[in-house]
Amino acid sequence: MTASRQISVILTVTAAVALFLLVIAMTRVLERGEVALTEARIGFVLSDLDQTIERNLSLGLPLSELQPIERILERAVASNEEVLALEVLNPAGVAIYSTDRGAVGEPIPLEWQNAIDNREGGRPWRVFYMSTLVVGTEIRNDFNQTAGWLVLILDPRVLPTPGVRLPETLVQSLPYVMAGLLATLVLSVLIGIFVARRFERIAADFANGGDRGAKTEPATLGLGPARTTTASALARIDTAVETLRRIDSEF
Amino acid sequence: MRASGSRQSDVAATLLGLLLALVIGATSALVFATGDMNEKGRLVRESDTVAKSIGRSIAEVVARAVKLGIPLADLNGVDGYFSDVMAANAEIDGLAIADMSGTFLFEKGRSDDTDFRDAVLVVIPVDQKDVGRVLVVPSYQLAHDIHRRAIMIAIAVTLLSGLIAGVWVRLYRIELIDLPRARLVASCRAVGRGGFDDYSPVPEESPLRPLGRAAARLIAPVRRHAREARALAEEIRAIDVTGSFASRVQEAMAPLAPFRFDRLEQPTRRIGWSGWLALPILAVGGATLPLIAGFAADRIGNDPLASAAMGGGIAASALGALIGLALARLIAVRVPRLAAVAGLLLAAGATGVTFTIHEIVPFALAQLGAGIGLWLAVWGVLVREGAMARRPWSGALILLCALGIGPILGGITAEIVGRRYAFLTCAIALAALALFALLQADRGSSRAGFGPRRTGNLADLAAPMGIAIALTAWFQIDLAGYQYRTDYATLAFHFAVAGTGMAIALLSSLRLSAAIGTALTGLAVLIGVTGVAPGWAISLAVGVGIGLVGARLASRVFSLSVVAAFAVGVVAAGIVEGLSYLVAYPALLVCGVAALVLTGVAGIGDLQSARDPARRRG
Repeated sequence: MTASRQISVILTVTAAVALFLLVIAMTRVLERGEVALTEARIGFVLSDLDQTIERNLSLGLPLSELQPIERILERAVASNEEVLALEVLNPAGVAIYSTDRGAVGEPIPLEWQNAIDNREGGRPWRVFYMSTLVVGTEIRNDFNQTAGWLVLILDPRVLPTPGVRLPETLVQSLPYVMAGLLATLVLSVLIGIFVARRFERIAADFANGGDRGAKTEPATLGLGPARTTTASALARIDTAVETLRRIDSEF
Repeated sequence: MRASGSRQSDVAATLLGLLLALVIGATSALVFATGDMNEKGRLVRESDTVAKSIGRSIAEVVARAVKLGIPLADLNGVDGYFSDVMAANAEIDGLAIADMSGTFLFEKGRSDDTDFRDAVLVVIPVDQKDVGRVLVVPSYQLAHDIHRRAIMIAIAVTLLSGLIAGVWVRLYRIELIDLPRARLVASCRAVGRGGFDDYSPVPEESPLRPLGRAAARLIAPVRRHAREARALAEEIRAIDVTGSFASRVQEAMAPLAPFRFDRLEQPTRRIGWSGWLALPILAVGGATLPLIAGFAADRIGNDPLASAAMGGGIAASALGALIGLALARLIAVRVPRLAAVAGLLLAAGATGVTFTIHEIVPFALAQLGAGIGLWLAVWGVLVREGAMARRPWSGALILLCALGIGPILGGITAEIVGRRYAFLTCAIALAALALFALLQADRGSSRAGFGPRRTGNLADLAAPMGIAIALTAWFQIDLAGYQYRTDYATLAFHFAVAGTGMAIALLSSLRLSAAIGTALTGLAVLIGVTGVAPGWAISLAVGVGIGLVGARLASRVFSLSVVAAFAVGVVAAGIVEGLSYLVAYPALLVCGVAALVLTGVAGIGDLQSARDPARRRG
């Protein structure tokens, strides 16, 4: 591959990778923004309910004896259309209140338990389970012990699927990406040609006896002495050959 | 003018890097500023929805109280309730309740000048009748934050492209322009001294080929005529059985004695730099730098113990590097390919297993394994025959890849796929490199990499240790562990700024005392503690400091003692952060002071070596 092509390939490949990364990263930043806003909305519902339950707990009643909880949960489900169901679990993971009556008394699925076990400290845990998004938070009593779990079961569409907006964004940014790539390609081809031509010009000039690159191109540093020595060597060799031919003719 | 013209190549690599950064920057600006990528409007609408949800919930609470017979204007504890809601929701700047005539009955803002004119309105319905309104002022904090992150990503990608193009072009120019140019000059100078046998042609793919051909065309007649003269002389000697012409033949050939024509032109096979694989290995290894502290801290949560976890994770990784170095010294020279492949597989496995880890101790162990594997692999590559050639440029490129390009890539990857998947991506890349190392042609090994390069200069140990402490404290602990734990875009931006600073320092012809670079990093960290300078300026200064030390150490960047001193510095910074759990002190401040103390040691070392010329160079 010629030098000009190598430079073009280097720069164009770098540009292509960078622009691809740029579009993907920007799309993901925006998707994360949407997720964060949705989480803020869900977080408000969670923290509102959590505070209500914890206020009731501070009256000294155990979690299983808080009768108003069912009403509070039902009201929360009614006023938040993305919330499909709400549950309160005891520390062992058994549902003690739920807007889905059939779930009361049932232990939580293994997937939920794994999400609880692997939660990041201080943050709500989250798991996709049976076409629902399940988000849970810890209920703490006055002694800062885990009194149970408050669980929101949501329509999974509230959170955008990662990469869902990528095709749309790629199409939208395609003209700019192509323009950027084209600009890089043209510039790199021109630079490659310039570099190659420069050495060709210096070489042509040198072949014609000039010393065009003497001051700017380090590669020409040894050419001057080489030319002088070559001329001197050629003259001596020619003289030697002439003498030898004369000797040869004397035979 | 240097025979290799390396300054020309420095300038060319810089200009091409800059040019590509400009193109990518302009494209980023276009992508960002036009079309739907500028999503601030959409995010603002989403923020309004969040505010509306909160407003609806407050309206319900108020409506219940009004239903119980409490007049709207006489509600109790509204201020405290508003404070609680605002404390729990950063998306809200102000809350108010107004009656239907628009008179404010209760209001609370984050600041005195909270503007309720653009507030989101939610009515308070009581028995099918609206009795008042809840006004919620959204802060749009998330929308602004996302907008800022998108800009950070654009800048990080722009600088990354410039750095990668610069490194790539520089490597290309070393191999295909600088080295052939130096060889051409040496060949021509040899010819100038009569050594026509020394001339070696320029490699076919080099742009210098036309010049090489011109030189070859110049020399070719000399060699041809010399062969002709020699053949003629031999012919005469062969038929001159009595030896009567011997003295005349000798006399005729005598003027050619100062010249050497013996070797025939041999085609030159270009052998590339065998150590290049160290660049992607260190870039992928460096990609985890912005992720380690945050991942470690999140195993603990919002607990003071998080600092111990962070320090442990960082120290384990560097401790692994030290063990990897020791292991490499034992086996890398004997079995370089095995060392490289096994090291890469170990690093890939340890990094990949992080995807499944949820506890701090297994994570620290995984980091230890990753450090061992990575450094065993790097030295498995660097002991290959010829890998220690092309110094100091290869040293500078390695430094740039490990501490500049790698972390930027890590930050961008984490922003795209998330932190766990970023670890997994790095593991896959390391496994791919292991396969590549396995399939590479065997080049033999050389002990040169482990050879003692004692400089007798204390600065060569103190300076790398000092910059390691400062950069770990600033980037890994303060930025990645505390300030931007999950904001990978901003982390990538900071590493990009530092990488640019490193490149500027390495490209400059300044070869200042290593103590100056260390002092710059230490001072920058201390200024970072005070918070009087913007974070990017601190990152830039730390980057320039690292670059200055790298430029000063030049080829010695490779020496085992320097690498070990660097790793010890990282371990020390990790320990300082970890111990801040037991004895509450500002780890950043302690690390900044430690870097300055090491600056003093490096300065003393430099002064000693300046007095003692024997120690000046290794």
